[in-house]
Amino acid sequence: MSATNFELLRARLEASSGKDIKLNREFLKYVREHHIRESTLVSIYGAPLVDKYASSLGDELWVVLEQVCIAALDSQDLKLADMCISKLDAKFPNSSRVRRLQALRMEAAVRYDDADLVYQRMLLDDPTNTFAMKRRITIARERRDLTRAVQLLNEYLTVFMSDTEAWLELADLYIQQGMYSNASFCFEELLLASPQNCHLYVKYAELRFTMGGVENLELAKKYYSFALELNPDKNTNRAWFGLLATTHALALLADPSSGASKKASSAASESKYVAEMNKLARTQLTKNYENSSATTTLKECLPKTLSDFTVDRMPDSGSSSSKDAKTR
Amino acid sequence: MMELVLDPRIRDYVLLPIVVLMLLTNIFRHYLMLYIGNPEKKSDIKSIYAAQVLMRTRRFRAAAQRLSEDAFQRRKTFFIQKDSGLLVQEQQQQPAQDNPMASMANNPLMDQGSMMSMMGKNFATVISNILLFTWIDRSFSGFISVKLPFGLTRGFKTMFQSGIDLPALDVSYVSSMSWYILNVTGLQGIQALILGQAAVDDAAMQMSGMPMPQQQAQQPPSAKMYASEKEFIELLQYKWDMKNTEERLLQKFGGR
Repeated sequence: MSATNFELLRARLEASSGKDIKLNREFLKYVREHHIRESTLVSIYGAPLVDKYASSLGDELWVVLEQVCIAALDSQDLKLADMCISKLDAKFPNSSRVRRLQALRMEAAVRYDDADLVYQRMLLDDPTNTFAMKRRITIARERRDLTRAVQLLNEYLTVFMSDTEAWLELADLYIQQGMYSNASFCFEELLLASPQNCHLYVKYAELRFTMGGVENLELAKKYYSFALELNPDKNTNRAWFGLLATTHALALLADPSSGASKKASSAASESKYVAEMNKLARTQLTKNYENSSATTTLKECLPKTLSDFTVDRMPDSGSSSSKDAKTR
Repeated sequence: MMELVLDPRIRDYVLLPIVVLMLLTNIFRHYLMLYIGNPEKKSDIKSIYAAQVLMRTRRFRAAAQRLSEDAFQRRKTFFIQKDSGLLVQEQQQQPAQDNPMASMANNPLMDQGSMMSMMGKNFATVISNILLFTWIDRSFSGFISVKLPFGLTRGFKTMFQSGIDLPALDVSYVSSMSWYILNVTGLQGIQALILGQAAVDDAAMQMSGMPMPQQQAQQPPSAKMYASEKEFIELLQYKWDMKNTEERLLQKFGGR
């Protein structure tokens, strides 16, 4: 609902080409209240508001200045940002909120060391300043210093351990560095926080699939299935493909002629329902693509893809034949 | 019952002045409070940490059955292991149960700064109320000032007709003291219009005498809370939700 409202507002805005000041104000207010990130639009339509028509805003001016400043920094319009900051600074000298904007301005100008110093000073004044902590992590990330970002984020999470966004960020950082088991710990925290979110299960399963090995593949299979249990109807292709790939990988492992160790092979062959899940995945995918609006080329490619990942029967770990799991 | 006609001069020289004066005192007190200043509630890292620990353990207990066994055991140990578990450490850091003063001191609601400002606010309200009360009592007693539009029972006579000694008088005719009391609550509406809603919340808070915390901050967790969380987690049995998920899935889609 709010998406359509936003689109309507945006259309009206473009139609008036920014001349309608009241509309601009309304738009900015809407963006503020719904925490939408549309920095280009906000800086374009907010600029005249804070410049020529500043007097008509009354007390709203200061909030709008802050909003336009951040949007300007986000769209790299440093001149506009500077104008906003100087106006705010003139009105509220020594304000911690203005200092935040000044630090962000430094970040936008790639003066990371200066910005970091400002944040550290903020933290000395108030050790619970989450804004400063998060910005420091972002700076570390911008400088591609992932180890430092991870360290800072861990320090943040030691105190604010129920911040789900932070766990997601940490998981992302770990994945970027290939530290998958650490990432899966973070994902588990996320699962605990939102156990009804089926997408989390799919992502977790994908992570486990990437980690590889019989145990992880087993877990992946379970989590894909559970995700489909939670949400069997809409947008399920990702999970079905995941199941397809996982069952195929398990079958490969179970096949002694594929080069897997004996231990892995026998563990994999103990996996239950592999062939059945594989078949189910293939059926569902075929059905989904048939009914979908996918292009004809895509629909034509599907059977070949599916056949590449087909598992007719789980191979016995003792047998030497490899005809049961077709490989690519 | 006879119908008394009240002198209109009572309205002019008693009722209206009381209302105006009360309004002015409220406004004055409000601005005085603004200038004395509100110390910002500085959040304490320890209390945030403590609250978050409990939030995390509660979340864990709620959704633990979605985790793999390995993850479950790892977290269980993390929280409750002897000497190094998170809950155990927190428990040991809390002051002992038989020291209520210490736990009072830790209570962020009783922080020195916020206490002072709350007492200051209450002080001003109390003083102004006492002054007005005394002034009205001295200057405007002994006569009827208002006829209330509704009837009351005999019991209210002593309260509402404080300076008047007429046992036969209808209880609807009240003294100026009760007009004052009526105004104390009644003026909040006009105050809201003039000063903004915040002033009214403040006034209501002072009247009720209870300091309402700004945030959702509850009592900082006591050693008891940690102990009970620990027990809950110890007792938590692992029963994986996903044990038979493949079967269920196959059944679900078997018919389709």
